[in-house]
Amino acid sequence: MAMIELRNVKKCFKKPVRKPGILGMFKTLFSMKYTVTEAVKDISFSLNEGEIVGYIGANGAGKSTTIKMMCGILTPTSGEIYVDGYLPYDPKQRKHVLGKIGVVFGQRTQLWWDLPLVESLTILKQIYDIKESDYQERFDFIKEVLDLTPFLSQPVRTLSLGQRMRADLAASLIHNPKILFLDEPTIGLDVLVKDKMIQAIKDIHQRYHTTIVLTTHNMDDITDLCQRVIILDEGIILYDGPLKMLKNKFGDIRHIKFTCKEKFDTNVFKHHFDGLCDVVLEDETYSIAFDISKISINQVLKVILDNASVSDISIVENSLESIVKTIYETKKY
Amino acid sequence: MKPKNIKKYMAFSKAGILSGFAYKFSAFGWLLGDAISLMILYFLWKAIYQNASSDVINGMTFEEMVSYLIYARIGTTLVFSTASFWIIGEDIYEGNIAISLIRPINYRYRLLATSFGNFLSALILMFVPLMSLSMLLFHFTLEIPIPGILNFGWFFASVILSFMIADSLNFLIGEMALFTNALFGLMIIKNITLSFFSGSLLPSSFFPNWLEITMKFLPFQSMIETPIMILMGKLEGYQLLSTFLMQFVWVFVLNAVCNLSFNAMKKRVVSVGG
Repeated sequence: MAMIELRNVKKCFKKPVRKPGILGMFKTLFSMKYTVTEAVKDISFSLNEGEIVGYIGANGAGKSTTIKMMCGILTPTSGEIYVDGYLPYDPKQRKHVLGKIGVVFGQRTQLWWDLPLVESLTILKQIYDIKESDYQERFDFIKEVLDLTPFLSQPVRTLSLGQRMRADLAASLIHNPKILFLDEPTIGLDVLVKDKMIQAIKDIHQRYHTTIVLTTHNMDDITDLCQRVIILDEGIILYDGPLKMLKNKFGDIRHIKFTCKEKFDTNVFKHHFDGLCDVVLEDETYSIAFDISKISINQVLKVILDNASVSDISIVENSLESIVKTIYETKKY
Repeated sequence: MKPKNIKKYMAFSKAGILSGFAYKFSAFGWLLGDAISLMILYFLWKAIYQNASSDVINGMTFEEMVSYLIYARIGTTLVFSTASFWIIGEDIYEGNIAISLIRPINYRYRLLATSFGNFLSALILMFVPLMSLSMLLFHFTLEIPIPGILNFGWFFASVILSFMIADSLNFLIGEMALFTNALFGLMIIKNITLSFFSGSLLPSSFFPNWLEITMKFLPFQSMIETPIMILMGKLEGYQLLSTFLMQFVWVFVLNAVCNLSFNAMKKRVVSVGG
């Protein structure tokens, strides 16, 4: 059975029409005019147990709204969401869902500001009614992977951003949730801390087989963690499938960049490959993009080296980032 | 509530105590401020009584008046130790209400439990030192007797109910942050109103007749005046019973109002968005 299932979910927000100025503010108080914005238009997908899914989309695409609906913080305007068989936003069924999910909102902390981290975790142990032995086992593991020991007894308000984020992740995992929602967990982190976070998420997934939904703007996180991605734009799903397929669909593009000592005639490429590759000259660097399923890299390099006196050269793989950028820009997959 | 649930909430009380102690230096600051204002109160009323035409004002002698005001002042540190107003106010302001719904725990009782922790830390850090000091001073300078054990027992029972009433009112006023972001202004209005009507500035016998009667039907008096009168041994037998009953009624009524209004707010948050 699917762990999470969304069926034709739609979410509209009603906002009062605001008029400018003080007088306008008073008018707003009494006016009944609303504008309706559709944050999520029509979304359906289902996730299996143990899957890690990258949920990506531009700002305002409706990612956070969907996550909030899956946690039961928001109720969909129409459609249904089943989390482990229950509706999370239904007041009677909520309690079955709450113990099974863990959430990290990278933008805000859910820890108790004035308390040492260790106390926050003890409180969570009470709230979720965790058995002492289970708690100890998980606590030791999480402490190890997230490297919490140095700041375990410090009040949360004194933690650095990286430490706080690790603390938040620990807090969301202590009750061993079946499902973990990570809403931009690496926002604002430096490369080192970020790598640590990603590694920790991997370790946790391997050990507890948690279903993970990850939203992020950092495509490296997605490539490191997810086999499956869902791309959202303006409230509808543009792509839902394996990460590999996405790359194949957009072609396995390579970019060769090189600089030369002398001016170089780009018409040579037109002559050899007849429109199968793009050549751009930017700041004295030539950039050639081509699909390696159509032209062999060997040929291209040969042409370059035969015709130009190269002073520097590099080959770059088409990144997920550039694929996603194309999707966002063209609005189609 | 089931015993298993109570344990959940006890964790928050513990957190409340810990965060109370986390700011122990600010507690010392409050302590000093309170000690100074108690001294000012004492000298102010000394001057008033010296210039009054009789030894008794509104049925109270100087000793009774001063001990009432000072006990009331100290009692305020306990009853108004609740942090619910700030917690809910800031949670609304920062849009955290929605997120707090992720935890399998009742928000309203969570705040009550946290505030109870603050209550306990105020008891240890403020109430005990201030109260013992003033009782000793009273005893040796003004020869006011130290209240008996039984009075203290009733007083604490009453103060806990007072605290629950004060917490509900704070919660309700805190919910107003939904309409205005002026938390600080709201707090000042709230503090002045509550301290005036609860009898923390003056006993209600000083109010005009109509107001004194109106006050009997409102929850405010139950907060400060009732427990202090009990401590001073002014209420006994039937009167004691009826004031306790009154407090119980208010605890239940206000608690119901809190739950209803919070559920309404939750619905709004869940359907409209944080």
